[in-house]
Amino acid sequence: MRIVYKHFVVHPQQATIPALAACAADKQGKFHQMYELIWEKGFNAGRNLSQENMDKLAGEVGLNMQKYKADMEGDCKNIIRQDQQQLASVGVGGTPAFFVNGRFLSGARPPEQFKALIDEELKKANDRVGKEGTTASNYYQKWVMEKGKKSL
Amino acid sequence: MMIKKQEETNNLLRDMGKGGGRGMGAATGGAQAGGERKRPDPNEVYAVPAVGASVGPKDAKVTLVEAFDFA
Repeated sequence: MRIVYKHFVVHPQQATIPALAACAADKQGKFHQMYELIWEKGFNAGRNLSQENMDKLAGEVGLNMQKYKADMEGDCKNIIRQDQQQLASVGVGGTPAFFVNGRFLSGARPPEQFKALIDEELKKANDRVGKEGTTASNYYQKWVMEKGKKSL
Repeated sequence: MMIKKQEETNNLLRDMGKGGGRGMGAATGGAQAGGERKRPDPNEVYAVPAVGASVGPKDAKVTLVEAFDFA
């Protein structure tokens, strides 16, 4: 299974700076380290999601600070805007929200519900791969991106 | 092989549920944008680009996209 993280900033005053910081960390291949630290030493530490704290965490992760700051001010703003637009167009209105091979599941659900949907989609994929030019590599493009609804 | 894959999936599910009130199975209502919204139909397939930070193989048969924010 592959998990893809997309930004959907619901509370911009609070969550934009950490979103930009996580994006900038991703640009240096360190998204997960930064993501974990933002929750642990930012959100769970009195919701300290300030620029100052994000910079400190970026240093802990070992980011190139010059590139980190440039990405926060540059490309990451576009990436977050684009993620937000893509998700809003298919009806996302809050977080967390999930799509399993394009099928929606809102957050705050027991893991069993995720497992059931994942198993269902895996079975479908196993049935389709090897037929009509479908491979594991092109499965998402062919069955989710090409056949899926582009908006609500 | 199948057992190993199942274990990997279970581990991912567990990891997603860890910490804070975030991720799959989190016991929180999460954050909502204001106003009444039409929600996606869980029986439909939506073309959500799988572009962004990710974990797991690019040729996985199941791709889970998570919309998240730090709030």
